[in-house]
Amino acid sequence: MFKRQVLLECISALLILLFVYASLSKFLDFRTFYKEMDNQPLPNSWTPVLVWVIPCTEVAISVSLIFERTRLLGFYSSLIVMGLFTIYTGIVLAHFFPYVPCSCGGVIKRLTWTQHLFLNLFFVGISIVGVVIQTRKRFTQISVNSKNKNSFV
Amino acid sequence: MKKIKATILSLAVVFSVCAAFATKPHWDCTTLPQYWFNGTGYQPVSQFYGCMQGSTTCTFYTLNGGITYSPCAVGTYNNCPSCTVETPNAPHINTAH
Repeated sequence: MFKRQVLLECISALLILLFVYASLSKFLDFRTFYKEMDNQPLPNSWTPVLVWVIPCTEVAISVSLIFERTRLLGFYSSLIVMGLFTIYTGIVLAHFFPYVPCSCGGVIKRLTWTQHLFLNLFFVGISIVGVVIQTRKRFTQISVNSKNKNSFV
Repeated sequence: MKKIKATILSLAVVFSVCAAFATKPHWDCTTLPQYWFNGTGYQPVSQFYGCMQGSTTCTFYTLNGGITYSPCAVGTYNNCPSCTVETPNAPHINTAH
């Protein structure tokens, strides 16, 4: 139980590390990030929305992973976001778009698309592990609580 | 357990914030080799290029040897803004005396 809890904390920490770093890097170099988003093969009218939605979602996921009550939601959100990024990377690697400038923050933009895919897959994997452990933990807590209630009756 | 949790999570937050500030680009992208997108691929800019008025990305730079390109200057790329193109029908003026 203790080991599982420590593993859960480590998974949360890794995801927080990724999302806080990625979002902060975008905010710190917002002008470049805006221009990079403008150059994505998406309608340019989406850019003003996406430049705020993406980093703010990353911050929200990081915050939700800190608190026990919202952690499961955080793991699910992380799984969805990282899954979407992985699909996008896969599409890029399949040469679906004629050009795709990188739109990630900090040192992550120095990775090749293949390295990017493996990084994303790793975070998808640990998000799945997080969802499984957190769900089991919840079920255990619920069953323990219901047993305690029944013992009082 | 609460202490372990607080330690791990605060370390993650502190480390990511420090890393983000440490890797913040502090150079001027125009000091790096510039490329322009010609519709199919990225080409090195000409020696006398210029960025004309416009809201699109004029030039790009790369940090990983051409794997990905990031936007740098804003505007419309012009190969040589100061060049005057001689039209074939234009009268030739001889300035040599």
